[in-house]
Amino acid sequence: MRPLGQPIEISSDRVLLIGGGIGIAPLFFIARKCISESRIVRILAGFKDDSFRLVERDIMRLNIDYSIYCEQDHWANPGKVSEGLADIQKYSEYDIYCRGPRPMLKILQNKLSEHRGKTVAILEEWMACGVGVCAGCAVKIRQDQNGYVYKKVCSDGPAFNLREVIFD
Amino acid sequence: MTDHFVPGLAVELGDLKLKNPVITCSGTFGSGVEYANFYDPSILGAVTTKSFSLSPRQGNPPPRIFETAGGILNSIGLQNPGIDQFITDDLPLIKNLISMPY
Repeated sequence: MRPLGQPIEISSDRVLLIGGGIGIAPLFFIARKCISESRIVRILAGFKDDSFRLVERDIMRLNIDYSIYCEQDHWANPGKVSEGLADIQKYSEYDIYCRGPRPMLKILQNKLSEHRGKTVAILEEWMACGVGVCAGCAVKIRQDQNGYVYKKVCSDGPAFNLREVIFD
Repeated sequence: MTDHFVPGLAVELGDLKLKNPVITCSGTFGSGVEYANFYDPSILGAVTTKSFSLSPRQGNPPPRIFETAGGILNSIGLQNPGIDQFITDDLPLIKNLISMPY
């Protein structure tokens, strides 16, 4: 159903959600789904400043483990959300879903390159038609060893294998 | 009982005779069949497909769309599977879906 794209599959009993800025918005839906299915779910959220400070209230309402990071203001752990993966072994049994700015996703792609579980990037692009016809919302996805193909966020996505996304 | 007046919408465009003057813009209608999922394209006067190239083209790197004060700019870069695939896969579907101009 475009532009909602394809359903996001959740298969693991342990799910880590990593959100950057407003990217955290869709992760609430995944979190509630996991909670309703009795999966273990954890959130790492990162923000530039305190403009999203109120979102902590919404995260607390989920009643799950979470950590918040802030780059400029000090209402949360200092630094970028990727700091939350400092002890990456803690999440070795987790499937990881990420949503946020491309620079953040690129950092996570590097940090999670050896991760055993699933790593999923939930992407966003400017859309015109939203139904898979105009090819405006293209994202570059690795295909074969050196090749790539352009897929459409509105109809093929929004979730893609983080390892296969090419962040030019 | 009043007869309903049905206005005549048929037009001629060069040598083409169209049943109405509603034509899709090129570049917005894919290969001409995708929107059949939403409505019957045969109600239109004519359909224009996106441009096709001799060989397949990947198109431009993203971003391909940018919002402006007046609307959007787009530069898709002619992503298309090539004219051979259009002829083999899409044209038969178009012929089934869309009635010929009369």
